[in-house]
Amino acid sequence: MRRNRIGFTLIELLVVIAIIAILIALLVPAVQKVREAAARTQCINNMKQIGIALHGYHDANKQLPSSEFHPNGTKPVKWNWIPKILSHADQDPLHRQLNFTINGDLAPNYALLSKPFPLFLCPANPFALVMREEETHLAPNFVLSQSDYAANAGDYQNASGVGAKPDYGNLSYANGEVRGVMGRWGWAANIANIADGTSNTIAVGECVGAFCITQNLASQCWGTTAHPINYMNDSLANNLPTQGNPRWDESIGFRSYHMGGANFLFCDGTVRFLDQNIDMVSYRALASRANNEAVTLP
Amino acid sequence: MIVLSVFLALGMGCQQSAPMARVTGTVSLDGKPIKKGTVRFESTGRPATGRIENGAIVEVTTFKDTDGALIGTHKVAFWAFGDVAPGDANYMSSKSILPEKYNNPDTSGAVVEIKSGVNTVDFKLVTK
Repeated sequence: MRRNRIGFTLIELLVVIAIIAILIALLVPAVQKVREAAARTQCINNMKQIGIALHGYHDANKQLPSSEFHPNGTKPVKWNWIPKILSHADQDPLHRQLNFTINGDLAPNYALLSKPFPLFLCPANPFALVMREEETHLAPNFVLSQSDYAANAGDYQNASGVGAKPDYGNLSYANGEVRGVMGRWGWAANIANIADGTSNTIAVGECVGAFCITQNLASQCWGTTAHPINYMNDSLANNLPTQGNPRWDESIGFRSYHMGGANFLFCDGTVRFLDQNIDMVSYRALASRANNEAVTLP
Repeated sequence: MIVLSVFLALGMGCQQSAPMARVTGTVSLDGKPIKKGTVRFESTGRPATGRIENGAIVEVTTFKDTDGALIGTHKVAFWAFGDVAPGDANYMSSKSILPEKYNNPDTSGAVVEIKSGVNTVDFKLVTK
């Protein structure tokens, strides 16, 4: 029997719609995965550029950049380490405009640094272009660009990284007891200080989220391996920071918006993605620069 | 189609999860509760971290916030810092109030067995 018909039956339409729905359901997560992978690759590239700039700075100054300047050799001036490497990261015109004899968050430096710098932002960060107010300064007066890339201050749960010898103040710049390669303020290693080997020591890791209140291009930017990677990300990475972050000691762990781990720049210039389930013994060993540990990464 | 959708639903619903257990307890130093600090349980898997608040261990977290610790034997490390006045720029380098050996799970000497269910663990730390 042969029918002459115009159009489709309801069943045919439902079947076609269902097939399209299944295809879209398969496609959408795939697109999302590709976007995530692209963001991770971009992030690795940012870190690689930072690594090249750090080595350029080290070549010129025989030391990694410390989060501080000593213009007169006496009173230290508060600065993040990042502006120091700008001239090695294709930002020499900006570097020349900054006044390094006064604090980084004072005019005219403030105006120059209160815009996002994509090189220091992870594209996976949903808040990358959201300008943050600085701790103890209320917006909109001190809104500064944050950095998602934090210097490795060590493996202890405070900024000094010296455990039982906590009298190391942030401002005593001569002190070399920082367990990482760049302290919160005041001290930075040179390659000779990295006795564990530059390929076994983290230089810079990702640190995003609540800690950004104290972490910007003008003052400081550091993290430690005291906590597992991405520890408490649910509450610490996905919220905008608040003034006087009461959980700073938990926020200082390296964390990222990437699934399952975070990117790390090592002192030899390589960038590796570390799994967030890395065992803590290895992870701590990667942060300490001279603790006689042998670590082999897979 | 129905078969396919049932298959997909089953396939996506099956996610392996490691056995976890809730952990609570107390931490004291020389008999006095530690006001604020961190306690970490390290085993072969991802370590669990808890906060110490007024002597009590709260919010022990491994993978997702407050999900507890992996079941098994854990070495335990402790962190606690002294009070710093609000607004003190040095607060992030505040003094450790614990002997350094407690900062490392290999030297702290504290080992606990986490079993399924709710675990209550008490640690009595001493300064020497």
